[in-house]
Amino acid sequence: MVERRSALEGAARPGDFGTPAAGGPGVILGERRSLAIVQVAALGERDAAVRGGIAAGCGVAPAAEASRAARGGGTAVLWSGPGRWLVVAAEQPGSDLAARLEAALATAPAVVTDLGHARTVLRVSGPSARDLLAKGCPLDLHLRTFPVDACAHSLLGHAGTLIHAVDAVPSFDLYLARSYARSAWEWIEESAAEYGCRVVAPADLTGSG
Amino acid sequence: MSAQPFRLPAGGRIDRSRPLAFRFDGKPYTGFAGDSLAAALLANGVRLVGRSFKYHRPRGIFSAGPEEPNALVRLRREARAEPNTRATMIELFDGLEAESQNRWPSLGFDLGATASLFAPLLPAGFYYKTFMAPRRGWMFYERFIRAAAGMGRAAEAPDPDHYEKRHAHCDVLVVGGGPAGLAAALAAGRTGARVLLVEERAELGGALRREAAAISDAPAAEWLAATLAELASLSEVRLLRRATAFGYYDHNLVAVLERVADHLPEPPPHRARQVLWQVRAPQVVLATGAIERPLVFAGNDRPQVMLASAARAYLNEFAVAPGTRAVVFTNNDSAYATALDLRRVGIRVTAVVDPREGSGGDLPRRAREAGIECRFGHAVLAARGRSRVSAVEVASLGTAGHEHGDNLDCDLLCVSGGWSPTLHLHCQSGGRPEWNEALAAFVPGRSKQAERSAGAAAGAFALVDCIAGGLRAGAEAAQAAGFGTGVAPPAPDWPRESAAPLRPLWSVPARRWLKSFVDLQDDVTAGDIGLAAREGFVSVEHLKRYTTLGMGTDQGKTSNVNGLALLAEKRGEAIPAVGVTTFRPPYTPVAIGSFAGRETGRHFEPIRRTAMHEWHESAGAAWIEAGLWLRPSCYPRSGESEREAIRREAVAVRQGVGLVDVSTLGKIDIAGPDAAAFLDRVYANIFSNLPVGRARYGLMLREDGIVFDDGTTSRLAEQRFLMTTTTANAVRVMQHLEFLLQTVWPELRVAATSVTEQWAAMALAGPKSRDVLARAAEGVDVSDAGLPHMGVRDGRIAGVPVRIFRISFSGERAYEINVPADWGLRVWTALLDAGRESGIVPYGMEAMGILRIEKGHVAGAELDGTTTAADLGLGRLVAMKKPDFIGRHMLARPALADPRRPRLVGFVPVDGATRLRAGAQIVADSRVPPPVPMIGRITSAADSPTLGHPIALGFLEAGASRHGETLHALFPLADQWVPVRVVDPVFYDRAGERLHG
Amino acid sequence: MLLIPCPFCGPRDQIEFTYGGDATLTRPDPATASEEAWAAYVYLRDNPKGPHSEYWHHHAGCRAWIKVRRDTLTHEISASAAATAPLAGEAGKP
Repeated sequence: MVERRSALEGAARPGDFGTPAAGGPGVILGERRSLAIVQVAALGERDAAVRGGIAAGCGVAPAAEASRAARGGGTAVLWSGPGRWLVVAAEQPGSDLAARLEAALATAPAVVTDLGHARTVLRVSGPSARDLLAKGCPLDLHLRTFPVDACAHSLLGHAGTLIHAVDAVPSFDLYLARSYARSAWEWIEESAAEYGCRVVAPADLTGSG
Repeated sequence: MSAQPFRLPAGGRIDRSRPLAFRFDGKPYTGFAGDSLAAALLANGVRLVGRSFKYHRPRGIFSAGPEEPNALVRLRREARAEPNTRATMIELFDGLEAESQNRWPSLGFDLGATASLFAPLLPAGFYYKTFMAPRRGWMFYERFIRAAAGMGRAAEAPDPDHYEKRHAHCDVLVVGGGPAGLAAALAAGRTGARVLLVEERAELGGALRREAAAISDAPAAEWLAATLAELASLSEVRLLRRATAFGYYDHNLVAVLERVADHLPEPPPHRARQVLWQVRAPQVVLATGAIERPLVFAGNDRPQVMLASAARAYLNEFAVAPGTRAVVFTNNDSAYATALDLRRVGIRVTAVVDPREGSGGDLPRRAREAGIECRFGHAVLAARGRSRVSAVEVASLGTAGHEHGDNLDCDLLCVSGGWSPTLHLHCQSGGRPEWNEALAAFVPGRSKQAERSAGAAAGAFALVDCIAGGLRAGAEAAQAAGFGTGVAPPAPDWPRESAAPLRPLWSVPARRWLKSFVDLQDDVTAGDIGLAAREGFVSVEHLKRYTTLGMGTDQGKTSNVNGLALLAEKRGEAIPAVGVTTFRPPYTPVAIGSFAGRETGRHFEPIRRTAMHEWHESAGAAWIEAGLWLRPSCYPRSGESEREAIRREAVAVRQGVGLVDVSTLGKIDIAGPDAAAFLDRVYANIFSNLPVGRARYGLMLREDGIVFDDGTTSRLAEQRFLMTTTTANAVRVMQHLEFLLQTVWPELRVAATSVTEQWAAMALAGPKSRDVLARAAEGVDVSDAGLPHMGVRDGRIAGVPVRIFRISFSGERAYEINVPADWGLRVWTALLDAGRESGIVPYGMEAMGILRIEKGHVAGAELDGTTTAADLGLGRLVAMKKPDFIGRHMLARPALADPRRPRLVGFVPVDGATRLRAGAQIVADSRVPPPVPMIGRITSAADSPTLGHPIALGFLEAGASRHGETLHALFPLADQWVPVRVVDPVFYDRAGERLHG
Repeated sequence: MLLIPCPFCGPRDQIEFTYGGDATLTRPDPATASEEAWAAYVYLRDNPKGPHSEYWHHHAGCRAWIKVRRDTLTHEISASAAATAPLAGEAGKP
């Protein structure tokens, strides 16, 4: 497979900057690359067949409730709106996630749309991750109201983003529109400086979906 | 360090081991860590700190808090200078520099003070009455008046600091860190609720830090320490200091300004100077305390007339003696504490002057027992002195205004007219305050939002009542937010001091030529209020605007109630009948920078970049903004002007081949069994008969029949289309489609998904475009048979999958290539490589604009929200045979069918040389004097390299039948009129042969 | 700034939404509607003081068009629902 060029090529340089707390950097920031991202949209309100098809196509059934993600075997299924899910997995040579979902949903009332190049995915982690995101995101990301595997579309500054709570560190995956990625990255870097920020290489974030 | 003559030898909450040097008006002084600037100035004997707004009267420090009307200074220097900063709220730091304001040449000798001589000539409304004539005269006079009656000077250099904004959420927000607020936070925090407490000062404790009784009282001190310790142990309780809740907005949104670094010489690296918090709290407890009211009497504005509670604060919190011989003038018991505290540190208290006939309260009794003279039934008629109080005139209240009273020597006059609960946030939240006769004050009324008041803010002034009220409010707020039982923890069972009722005394009658101030900051006197009432300004809102009462940076915190009461007296009505003025945010001034936050400079708004952005950058592109996108306008080579570059690029496309980045066009995936039916309803033309693998130009109307957007839409599969939109309308079209699918036709089984971000897009255009494509593309037949005009095929370029659309905006043979965005740059460079032998040229928006104008293709300038399909010459596209589509049903309106409507036409200058301008108006006869009937307009103009002369597109009334006429294009902004000839809007290749050339 | 209860996402800040106008209007039946009915649908709007049913688009959220009953005087929001569902106390679409 031909290598993809990230929207952050040249912008994201691994290293530490800013004013870290005694315990180390408050924010760990990196890009998750080489992801397959596929949207499945159910047509009509009876979406049981669509849920079943997603499970068959990627191995993970969507969570029963809205605003929740389900994960398994390196694949995540994120709720993305009423009757819509994003299926996210590491790209694998010879295995086209969109094609697998198309096949599994061939008879279901659903539309499969490949968005793998449409999103830039960042992982923001560390003890100050919530404080950092609070500077631009109106969501309440407290563990009580946004537990692990909560996910929601919202804003980060002026850019729309889908936020997925990955673990209780806390860590969050941010799905940004590709064209906004560089501006958002610069905004995050500047906003994170006061907590101390460590930028990690994309390779350090693979397989942790 | 001996140079603090008024510093008490012991006591206070200052750190005497940390002396801090500072300057005021250039003169060096020393204070201690923990001082406010006001406290440090008083410790150094500085009594005169500013000049008043209108009369330039000398003014001193009046309060010890955010209500300060007088002691406004310009803090810091140069780019960091901040005017109108309250000295009472500035924390002293080493190296602090402050300047007094509104004086020239110096504070002690101020020429503007001559205004005082003319004071009788400067009543309320003086400026309005005097400077109205001649007409527009105010515009002339205003400059001089503003210069004379000024506040501070703002810095002129850019602010070197940065600001942040942040969102915050909690279950219970507590505003105020005094005893009531701390108690509320404690009671709420114990339930497990998430609590955010904001306190505007640097330290928590409120009045407990300032009252000698509390400091020396072991149970109170223990309670404070234990409460702070427990709050610190609660993981879901956050205490935010130096943070002012300044605005209460809809749905319990409270704005809080955190002053992160204002107590430091400059912010630490990477830290914001201030952070604007937007707190969304299901429940809010307002424990905002109360503000002491001044008394209104002659000369009550002189330096060293000070609120009694402020004098206590300087004594107890800062160990500063605000004077040496004091008189206390009060209408209530609380100021007797000031007399006792002054006496305790050895300051002589000449008398307590009290208009009441007596008081049975504990504090007055203790004052009498301490040997302090209490003159009941008396009032201060006037404070005497020049740059500070030197004596006060005291008389029996019954004789006031008629006879001279006794002169009492003093250098400090402490005043108290009672207490007003701080209701700003309650009122901003929609609450209507209610008048409480016993307190002679407004107290919170019924809540409109989820807020409740506690402590002094609710009219409970005794310490035990504040704590009990806070505990109760905290427990109830937590329960309302879903935590705990609502039962308050037990309050301390301390004895309550008995207090006698106050006696309202809204003003002391004064001799006519003496001024009794109501609003110190705005120089509004009791006489001004009387005058306004006599002139008919009897509505409190009119009074405010006419006299400027309460319109200063302090927003009348100390003057509001006194002003209302005086108006009520003049109107002969009760105070509640007069009503209150509207409280608006902010409670205290907020730097504009904090509202901007990080949204300045390069983060003013985000920049959207295409996948080829870096290439454009390295190719030296000149940029043009298209919404949030940056697009290349042209690629000037070295030594080439932009105009030359644009021309070269346009010629290259006509004669050879060019490549342009069109990734910003909106792209929408429309799929599902009803996709074709949906498009038939969305577009004015038909899509259901479009074969798979073909593209078609689509025209989208609004429901009112006006053109909304256009673009090509391709059928990729039986049930799947790819719609393109203009760059400008991409978001709106998506929103429009979602509206239709979700609200109008929910029965249609269609999913619309924006895929703008998924695909990089580039157009390869020009007679040699097919040669280039043939060299670059694999797995696709690009011959005219294999890929005809308006055909769509999949293929590969540079080893990655692409989608090729044979569509043209330029009028030349052209191919638009879509590729998954991460491979966009790869395919772009592959096409350039493949095109090198054909002389391929990258081109930008400007060349593209010329090409489309030459072809008469409409774009955003023509789709301006006023034009119909017929106006654009596209009427043939509208398929009226369809029973329904958006916009169909309004097309029959007479106004839309009017043959005189402006139609799209082309214009060329009659002289073949003068450039035309977009925005020019078309008139029939340039010699008609204005107003000239405008019969058309130019929307797009270009200097056509292909035709060798300027051209323009525009609209002309009944334009279709006027080709060949000579008219005039007027551009009054440049004083330009150009004779133009009306021509067909397609300037070039009207037969469309070059699409296949 | 309002806090708008999205029926899918829960309460969200107004900045995530776009206002969409009167939600009581129904697009006329193209087969039968008179010109007057179309003109009324396109141009005429009530401007009620008090509760008002209106569309909001959760554009920065789940992208659902929702119905909200908002008091135009106080901003109080008493109900919200998916675009095709009735608001509490409101009859469903005929």
